[in-house]
Amino acid sequence: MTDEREDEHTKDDVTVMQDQTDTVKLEPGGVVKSVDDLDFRERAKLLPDHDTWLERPSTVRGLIIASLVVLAFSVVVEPIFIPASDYEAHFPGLDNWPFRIGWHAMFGLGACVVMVVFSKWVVGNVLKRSDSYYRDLKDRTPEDPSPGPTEDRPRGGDA
Amino acid sequence: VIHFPPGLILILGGLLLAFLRGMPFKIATLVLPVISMWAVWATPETPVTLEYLDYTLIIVQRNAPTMVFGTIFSLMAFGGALFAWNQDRPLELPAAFAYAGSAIGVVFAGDIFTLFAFWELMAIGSTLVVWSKDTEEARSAGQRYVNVHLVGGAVMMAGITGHVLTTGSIAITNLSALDSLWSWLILAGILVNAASPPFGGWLPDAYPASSESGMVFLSAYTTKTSVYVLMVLFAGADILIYIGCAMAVYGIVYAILENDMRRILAYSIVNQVGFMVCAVGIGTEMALNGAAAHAFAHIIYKALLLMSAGAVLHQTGKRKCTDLGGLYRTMPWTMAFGTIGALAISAFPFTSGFTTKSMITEAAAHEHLAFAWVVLEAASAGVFLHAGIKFPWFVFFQKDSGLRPPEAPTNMLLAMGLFAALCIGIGLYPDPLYTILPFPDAGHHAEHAAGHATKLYEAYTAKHLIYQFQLLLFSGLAFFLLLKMLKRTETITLDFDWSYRRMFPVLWLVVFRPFLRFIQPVHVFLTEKLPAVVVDLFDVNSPRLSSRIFQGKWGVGPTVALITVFLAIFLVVNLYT
Repeated sequence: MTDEREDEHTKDDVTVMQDQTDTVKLEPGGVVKSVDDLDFRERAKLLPDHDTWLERPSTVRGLIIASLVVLAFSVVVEPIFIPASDYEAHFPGLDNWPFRIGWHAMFGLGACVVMVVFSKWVVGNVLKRSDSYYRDLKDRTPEDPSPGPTEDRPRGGDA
Repeated sequence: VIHFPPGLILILGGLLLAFLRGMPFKIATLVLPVISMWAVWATPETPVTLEYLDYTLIIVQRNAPTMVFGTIFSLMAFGGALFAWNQDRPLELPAAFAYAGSAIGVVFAGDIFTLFAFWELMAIGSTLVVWSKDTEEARSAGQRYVNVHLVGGAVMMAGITGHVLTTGSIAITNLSALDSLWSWLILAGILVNAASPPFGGWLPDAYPASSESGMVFLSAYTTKTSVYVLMVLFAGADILIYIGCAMAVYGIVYAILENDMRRILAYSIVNQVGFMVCAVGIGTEMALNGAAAHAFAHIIYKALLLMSAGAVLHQTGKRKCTDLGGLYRTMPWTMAFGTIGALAISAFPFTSGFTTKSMITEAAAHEHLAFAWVVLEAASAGVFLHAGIKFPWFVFFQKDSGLRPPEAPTNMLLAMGLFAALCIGIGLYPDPLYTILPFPDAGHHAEHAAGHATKLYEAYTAKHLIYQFQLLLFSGLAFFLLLKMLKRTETITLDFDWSYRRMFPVLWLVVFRPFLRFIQPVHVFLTEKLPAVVVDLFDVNSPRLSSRIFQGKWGVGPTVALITVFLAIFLVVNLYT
C-alpha cells in the first residue's frame, strides 16, 4: 500500500489523489502541494460535484438568452395589453414617455444604476473600512499608553 | 372573551418557559403562540379598563390597525419557535416570548401609559435575545443596543410626561400636527425604535450579532411596533413622508455595500420600514391600509429570508458573502425557500409583496406626491437588486465556495416552508388579509362614485403586472450588468453607530481625558488642598489647631479670618431673612 503511493508520486500526469486522511495535488513537475495550501476556489474544483449542469457554459448561455427574451417580452406586450385609452400617467411629464412603451423598464434600470454608482463611488469611497475596523479599536491604543479609563489611578491624584 | 391584555400570555408564558426543560419546554414554545393567537381574537370589542393611581388605564382596546399587528405578532412567535426548535439556548425563547408578548401589549394599549409600559418591556426582552447568543460580539452589541433603546425610551417618556401634563389626557390621539415640543420628543423616541437614520445605527449593529433564530424574532417586532405606534399617533404627519423616503434609500445604499449576508437583510429591514413610515406620513385610508398590509407581509418574508440565512449560518458557520456561494448543491430547499422570500420582498407578482407593498406606491400616486412616488418606485427596483437577487445569488450561487453543508434540519425547513407558503398564499389570495386591515371599507368610499369595484385593492391588473415585471426584470438586468461593481469585498461601511463606537471613545482618549488630566491640579487644589488649609485653620480636631488654642499660640491673623467668615455668613443670612 505504501509502496503504491510512492509510485504514484513519481507519475507526472496524476493530478488528484484521494486518500483516507488527506488529499494532495501533484503538480506536473512532481511537486506535492497540500490541499490546505490551496485557495478555496482551487480546492472547490477538486470536489466531485463541482461541475454541475447549472454552471456549464452551455447552460449559462441558454439562461442568458432566455432572460433576454423575457426582458424583451415584458416590454413588447405592453401596448398589447394596455390599450392607448388606458395609458395615462400619474404625473404627466414624469412617468410617461414619448413612444409609450418601456418607461418602467428604463426607470428600473436607470434607478438601479444610479443607486449602485452612488453607493459604490460616493458612500463606499468615503465610509468603507476593513471589516476588522471596530475589532482593532481595542488593540489600538499606542497613542495613549496610560491605563484605560476603567483602571484609572485612584482618586486624589498622584500626590 | 378575555379581560386582560393578550400580550400577557406570551410574557408570562415566557417567564414560565424559563423553568421548563426538554420536551415540555419545546412543546410549550409551540403551544403558547397558538394560545396567544386565540387570545388576540378573543379580546372584547369594547375597551377593558384598569384604575391605577389617578388614571383610568385602557389595557385592552382594538384600535384600527390592532388586529393586523396582533395576528402577525402571534403567528411570528409560532414560526420563530418552530425555527428555534433544535437550538438549545435556554434564555433565548423565554426572552423572545416576553418580547413578542410586549409587542402585542403595545398594539392593544388604549392609553399612552400602557403603551409605554409594554414598549419599554420590549427593550428588555429584545436585549436578552441579543445577549443569549453568548459571544463577545453579541455582548458588546447588546450593550450598545440597550443603551440606545433606553435613551430613546427616556426621550419618549419625557415627551409623554410633558404631553400628559399639558393636555391632562392619557388618551391615544393623533399628534401629527407636531405643535409642541412634547410631540416632537415622542416622535423622536418612536423613530429611534423605527431605526430611521440618524438613530438607526443600532439595527445593523445588534441584529446580526444575535443568534440564527434570535435575529428572526428581532426582525419582526421592534420596528413594526414602531410603525404601529406611528400609525396611531402620527398618521398624516408630512415629515414622515420624507423620513420614510430617506430610510428606503439609505437601506438600499448600505445593503449594496454590505458583505455580511444577515447585515444585508438588516439594512433591507430599514428599507422596507421606510415604505411603511412613508405610508403613515401620507396618512390616507389607502396608505394606512398599505402600511398595515405591508407590515404583515414584511414580517413573514423577512423572517423567511432570515431563516434561510440563519439555516446557512447554522450549517456552515459562515456569514460573509465572500466566504459563501454554490450552496444550492447541498441546500436546495433552503435555497428555494430563501428565493421565495427574496421574490416576495421585491414585490414580485404572485407573492405577498405584490399585493401589499404596491398599495403604498399606489397611495402616493393617488395623492399626487411626485417626490415620494419616484423614490418609492426607485426603492422598489432597488429592493430587487439588493435583496431579491443579491442575497440568493451571493449565498447560493455565485462561485463554488467548496462548502458542502448538509441540508438544514427538518424543523428549520418546516418553519421556512410554512412562511414560504404564506408568502405565496397572500400573493395569490390576499382577501382574508384585506378584511382585517385598518380600513376594510376604503375601497367602497374610493370607488363608490364610479359605481363599481367593491374590492379594497386590486393588485392584478394588466397594467400593474406589466409595469411591475418591467421594473423588476430590468433592475435584475442592472444587477448582472453591474456585477463587477457589486462584487463583495471584506469591508464594512461606517454607519451612525460610528459616533458612539469610535468618535466618542476617541474623543475621550484624545480630548476629554487629556483635558481632565490637565485640570487635575486645579481640581485637586479645590477639593483637597483648600479644604486641608481650612481644616488646618479651623477644625477643632486638627492637632495644629488644638495645639494653638490650648498652648496659647492663637495668633491675631487666624482670629481675624474666623471673625470675618462669621460676619460674612451673618451678612448673607441677614440679607435673605
